[in-house]
Amino acid sequence: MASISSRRLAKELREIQSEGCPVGISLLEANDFAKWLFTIEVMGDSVYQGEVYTLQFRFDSHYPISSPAVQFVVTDGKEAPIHPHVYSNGHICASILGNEWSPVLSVIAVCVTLQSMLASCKKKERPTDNDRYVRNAPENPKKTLFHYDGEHYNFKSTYLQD
Amino acid sequence: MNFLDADVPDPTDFPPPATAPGLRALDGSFRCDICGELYDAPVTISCGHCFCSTCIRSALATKQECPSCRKTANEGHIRPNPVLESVISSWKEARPYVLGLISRKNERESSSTQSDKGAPKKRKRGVESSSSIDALDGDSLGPSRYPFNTPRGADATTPKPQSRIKKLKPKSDNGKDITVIPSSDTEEQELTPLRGGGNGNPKPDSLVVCPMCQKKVRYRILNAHLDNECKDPAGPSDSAATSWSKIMGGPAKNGQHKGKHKKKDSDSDDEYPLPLATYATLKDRQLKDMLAEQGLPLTGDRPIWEQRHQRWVMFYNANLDKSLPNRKTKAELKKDLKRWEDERSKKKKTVVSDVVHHQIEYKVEFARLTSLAKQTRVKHPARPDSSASRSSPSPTESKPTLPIPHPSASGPSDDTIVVDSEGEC
Repeated sequence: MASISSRRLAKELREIQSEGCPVGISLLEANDFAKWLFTIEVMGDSVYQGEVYTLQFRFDSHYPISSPAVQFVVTDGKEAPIHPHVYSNGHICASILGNEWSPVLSVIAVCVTLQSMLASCKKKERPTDNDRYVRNAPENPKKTLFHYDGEHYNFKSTYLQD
Repeated sequence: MNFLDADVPDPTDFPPPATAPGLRALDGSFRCDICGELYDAPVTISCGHCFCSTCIRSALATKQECPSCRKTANEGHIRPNPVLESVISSWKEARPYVLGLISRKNERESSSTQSDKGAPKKRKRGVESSSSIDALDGDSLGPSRYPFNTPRGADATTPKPQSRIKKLKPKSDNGKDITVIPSSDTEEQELTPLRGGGNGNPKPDSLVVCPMCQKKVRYRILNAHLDNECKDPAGPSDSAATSWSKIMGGPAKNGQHKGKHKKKDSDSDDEYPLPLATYATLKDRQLKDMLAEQGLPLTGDRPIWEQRHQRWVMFYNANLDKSLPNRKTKAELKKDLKRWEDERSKKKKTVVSDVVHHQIEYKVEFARLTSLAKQTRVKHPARPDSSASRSSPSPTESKPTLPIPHPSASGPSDDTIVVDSEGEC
């Protein structure tokens, strides 16, 4: 009955419910196998101390072969963290969400990676091309092909349809 | 949460390590890291990591590296893992039994702690306890009552004896052709009486009693056996032809393993995996022929054909990674394929349910694509053929498609926005 993606997600959810989320991450909403919401908070000393962000996962029928669409929620008064890899529309430039995605990764693994991405940040700033990107960004961050420029804080993004 | 009610067994069916050391981890290690299910047709790739055959094949179709360690890998590295396969099929049988034992043990403990507190709990047995639970009584488990949701198939009957193990023996055991086999119950059945059999000569591979030494030898080599004064001849000469023809899939199959599985004897190339296709280089005609060759339906449009064929090759090849008795028939595989397509088309329909909203949301995008399409039409007026209809929507269409071609290899995975899904079955 259930497809591979929903069975896999069901297993992940049961594991979350029985073993709990890592510190600083908690499940906010998972009413179906299409969209889940988590809150994420950086523990310990960091520039984001005391700030709680909401992370949205969207899954297609190819999950886990294809990556989930992950972004920070920027509606309902919520904001994306100010980070060199996070655009103001909530889109995240992280390799594991794009070409480094692997089907053995899980929702929790993504949360933990993004948490440590925030934790390692020394200075709050937006990506250099934030305005240009946000102006034309597709609704789904998976439609963006992020280019990694080598240096950590310098990304350029292009759209797949270009 | 009610959408979780579907029975999706996973390692958390077992109590945590504090209560049942190793069980959860054991169940977890029998599961594919991609799908989370117990391995189905487990295969190993060059780095040694193990996945379901279908899972790793679809992962490699997207990206040619091991999902676990990112070492380069490709389809050619896939090797079946028959040992793990038989481990899994045993665990599938044992799992409900173990879960049954645990839940009964928990019941017992909870009832005993309720009835008389302070009494030695471990010795207290419920009425239903049978000798099969004795094994657990020695465990020093506390009165922990972990509320795991167990009791599925919680019958404590001993598992049926597995008949597969015998079938797993190599089908053409050439050693047996020559060696003299000591009498045993199983071989006895194959023994064809030499005299008075009533149905003429025994078959070449039947065991007959040598009139000289009274040992059992294959009828086919009986003469050689006698010529050699009942010593075991090391003569592979007579069987070389047959073993080659067996390797080449010739007609050397005989009564010995007839009817053990449903495989037809006629199409011997059933043993060989299907080659992967590079769909971009194929014409519609060729692709159709390939589908027809596999007996697959031609409904839908070109992307659907590609996905269908690609998926079929995956299912088909993955099926070959199973040991012979576990394989599915082509008809069963086709049902799997149909189910897979149905699931996908269901998903697609829900995505585009709100067409108006979709059109508003992508208005700019549609306009851009339409103008793009108009330009290409001016550029190539002579070729309004398949390539144009695939990649750019024609402005005359009532509902514009929004193809955002994925330049990466995951073409078929890009199904999040498909508006013209009416062609699907």
